[in-house]
Amino acid sequence: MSDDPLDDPRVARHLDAVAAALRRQGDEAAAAATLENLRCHIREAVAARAGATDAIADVLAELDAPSSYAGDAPVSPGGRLGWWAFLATLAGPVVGLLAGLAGGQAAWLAFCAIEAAAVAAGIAAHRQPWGRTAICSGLALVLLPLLLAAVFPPH
Amino acid sequence: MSDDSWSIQLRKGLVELGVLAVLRDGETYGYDIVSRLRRVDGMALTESTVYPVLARLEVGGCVQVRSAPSPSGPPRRYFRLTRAGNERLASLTAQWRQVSAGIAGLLAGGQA
Repeated sequence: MSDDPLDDPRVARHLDAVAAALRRQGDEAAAAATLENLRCHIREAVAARAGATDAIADVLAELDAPSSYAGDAPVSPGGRLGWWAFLATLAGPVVGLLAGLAGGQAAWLAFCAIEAAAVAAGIAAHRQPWGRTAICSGLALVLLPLLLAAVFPPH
Repeated sequence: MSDDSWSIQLRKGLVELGVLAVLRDGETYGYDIVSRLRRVDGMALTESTVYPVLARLEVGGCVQVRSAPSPSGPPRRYFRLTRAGNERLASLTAQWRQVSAGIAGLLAGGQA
């Protein structure tokens, strides 16, 4: 049997629940660091109770509930920025279509400006899933029409 | 807002300052940081409050982390303040002193 308390299924369940709560905070790097800190904490706390009948149960009883990690912890600005960046990539085609009604190159310029801003915001929030999604979708939305224009040149 | 809710919000707002203040005394590990903050009168901080803040400080470059074996148990993650962390501590300390002095003045009366 392993001496590492992290191999205990009760500890694994607790860590899984904390990981799930942290995922809702949106900052993956901070969530990973928090989990690593908690793993070390559990090992340290169990080691401090060496000789107890069920040190792991004692430690788990003292730990905060996993839901505490999903409480009202501040939402990272990056997480919110990533979300807005993704929304901006969706707004690009809408604004482009509306500007297209006016004719000329206004539609394309408006579309490109919005997508560029969205990708820049996505890069600033690249640690968040929505930030990375904004980078990919913004680039794809700009490159797709360029690719189509290259393959099927307008007459 | 109930007294409990106000107290929780106040403590949460002070976690970062507390963590930075503990690290000002020198490099230490997470379990020790939580233990020391838990003993501070009126703070009663626990791991679910301290570790997310410590992680954000790490991601933000305010603390540097290294893993090392402990002399008497499992490996530890040791934290120490970076230059950015020291600057952050100085900034938060100045803000805390300004606000606490202002509130103290209000509570003492005679100030608008």
